[in-house]
Amino acid sequence: MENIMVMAIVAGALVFAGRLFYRTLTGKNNGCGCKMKSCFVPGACRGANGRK
Amino acid sequence: MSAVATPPSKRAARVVALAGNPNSGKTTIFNALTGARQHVGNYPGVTVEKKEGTVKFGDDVFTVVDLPGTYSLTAFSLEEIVAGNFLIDGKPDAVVDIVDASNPERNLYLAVQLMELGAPVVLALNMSDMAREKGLSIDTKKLSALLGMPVVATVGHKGRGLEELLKAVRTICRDDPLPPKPARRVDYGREIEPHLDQLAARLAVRPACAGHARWLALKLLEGDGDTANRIRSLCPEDCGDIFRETDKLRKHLEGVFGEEIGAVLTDRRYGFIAGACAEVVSQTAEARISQSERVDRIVLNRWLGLPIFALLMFATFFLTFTLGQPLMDGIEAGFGKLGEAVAALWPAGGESRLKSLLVDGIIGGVGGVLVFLPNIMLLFLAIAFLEDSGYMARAAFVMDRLMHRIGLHGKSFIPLLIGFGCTVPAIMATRTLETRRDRLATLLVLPLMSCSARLPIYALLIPAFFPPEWQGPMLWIVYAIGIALAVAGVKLLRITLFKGESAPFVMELPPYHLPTLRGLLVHMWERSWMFLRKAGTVILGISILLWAMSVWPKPGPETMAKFERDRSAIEARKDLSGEDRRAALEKLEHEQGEAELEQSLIGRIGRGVAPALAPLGFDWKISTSLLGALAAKEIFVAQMGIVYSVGQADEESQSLREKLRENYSPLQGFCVMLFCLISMPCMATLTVVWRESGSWKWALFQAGALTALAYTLTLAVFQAGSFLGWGTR
Repeated sequence: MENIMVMAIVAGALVFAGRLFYRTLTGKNNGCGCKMKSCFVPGACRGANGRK
Repeated sequence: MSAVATPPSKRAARVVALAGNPNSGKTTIFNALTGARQHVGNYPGVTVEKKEGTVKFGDDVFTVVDLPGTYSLTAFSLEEIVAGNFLIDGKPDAVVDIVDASNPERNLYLAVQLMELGAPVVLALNMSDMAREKGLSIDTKKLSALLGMPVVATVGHKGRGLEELLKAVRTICRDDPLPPKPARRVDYGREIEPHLDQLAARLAVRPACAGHARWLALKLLEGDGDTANRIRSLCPEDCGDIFRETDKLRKHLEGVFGEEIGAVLTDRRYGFIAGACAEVVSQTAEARISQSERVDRIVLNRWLGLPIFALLMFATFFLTFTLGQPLMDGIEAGFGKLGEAVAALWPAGGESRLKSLLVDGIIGGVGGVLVFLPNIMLLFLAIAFLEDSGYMARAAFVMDRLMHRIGLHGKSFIPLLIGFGCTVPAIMATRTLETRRDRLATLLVLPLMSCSARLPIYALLIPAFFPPEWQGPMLWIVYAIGIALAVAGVKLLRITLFKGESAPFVMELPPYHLPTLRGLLVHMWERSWMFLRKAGTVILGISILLWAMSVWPKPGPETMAKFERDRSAIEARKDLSGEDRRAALEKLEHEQGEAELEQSLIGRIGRGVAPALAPLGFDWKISTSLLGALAAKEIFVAQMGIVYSVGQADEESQSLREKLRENYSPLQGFCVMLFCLISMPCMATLTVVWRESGSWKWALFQAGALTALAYTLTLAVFQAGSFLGWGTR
């Protein structure tokens, strides 16, 4: 039973890491909580064209 | 130039408005231009309604409108209402803002507002003779570049500079004007700008407001009733959402700043003006000096500025460690107890994967990173204090001079400052730089500004290897190395890949004030929350994977059978006392743990990479942790926590720092910090560099160049240190 739980947790982490990697490569994750309350420097990434 | 005074009804094709503060000499200039005989008084408020006259200049005829004096475009008196309405609704072809050159700081406020309005402005530095007599010298060319408008020095009562003024007006009134210069704008700071953009975006979708959306948004935030009425009359559709949004934003911002938002915006504008004046006005005579100016005389001093900045940063790092240490020890002990408590749920000596995952993987990994939360909170509290008090803008100004000297755009210092927090938004902030070469030069060196993700690495290694009195200085040295390398890197890039002049830039110098406790706590919490969020998501997920990679695959059955045989042999020995037997079994277990770790995926990868990093003083455990740090820099700490706790969950809790101290020398500790500081940044940063530069080429160049630099420098330091016997224990 314990082994199944461990496998499930590791598989979950693997899916999470895969999603994170995909989102990083596609520019959806920028590592700093952009567009969220925790955004490191709100407004710093505004561009000339207003895109994030 | 010939002039005729005409009644207001007969207007020529080009309308030129004369605006300016009361008593700045508008009427004198009006009379000199038009030949009129309007009454002139050396006191404010002589002109209370607008007057018109015409002036012929070459083939051009201008209708000159003399407006009542106004300090700003926010209407407080009848004169200001008259002037403001004409400037905004009259849409003159050109506005000549008459500035009393002997008092530029106060007079430029209106110019900045006109700049924000987007009006076609020519700045006339009037009474420039008096300014000279007072010992003031103004660099008109530089001021023109900073404000993005023509600037002409005039002496109204002597008629000096009027021809140049009319030439500038003619240029600005042309039917086919030259391509507009990049719009200058006041940066209202990271708390206000996003909300301002948001409000401006709502206004911009309404055609009647689209032209001045940002200016209207500013006025609404200031609580300008006239602007609200103007929007109501301009927009036939319902504007309730805009006013509701404005009220919400005003309440939020007033909560953050603890004062009226109008006052905050005014402060920021004066900050912009103070920055511009510091750039263009040189003063030779004693004048009235405000409190901020007195402080600025010291902190912006050519010789004292940089040492003061370095000293304040040193104090910040010193406090981060001194005050953070007891809290850090407390959290570390807490995680140690938590690990022991969770391990106690299983029978002692029993093998359990779940126990190992929880204790070694999650508590060892995530807990190892969370231990440094107090240091991070204290560092950001100190930085928030320096920012909110107004000092950080001065630091930027001091560094700006250095930046100019090395050929970098002064504005580059802002992204570099943001880089101390997180490199990703810092790279995005380089969008404010006008030229591509400035952007690329800045974003390529940005990872050298030590981001907060590296702080846990320093916070782990510095106390592990250096005595308390050296901890603050060591952290300061690491940050200083990053800054020095960034400066050298930029210089190199500017004389090789990105040659060219830098555009001028105004560094805002807001007045000093005591920050509010709420504002400081909000800033500290926003940044600490990001750290906590990352620990609970990215670091947790990757710690679990790293744990799995450090326990699988297991060593072959022969190796395991050998350990079983050795264990049985120790238990069977009659000559050993109980104490000696326990010690021998513990030693054997430790050896088995090491063997299992070396056989695991992480061990194999680490041993594969280790030969390349061995000349730098790194063993396979450090090498593999450095690879993990590519996902996020804090992972280095999490992974060291995991590799030094796997298979030891039953042992008495010993801090990771103690384990590191047993296994490595201070020189190795310093080399790890140096390598982490310089080597390629995390994946998220590389992706953003790719997106922002528009090419993988630059991201790969950055990763390769920084890693090569890190390797070379660390190699030199380790080998030289080993040869000289420095820090080798």
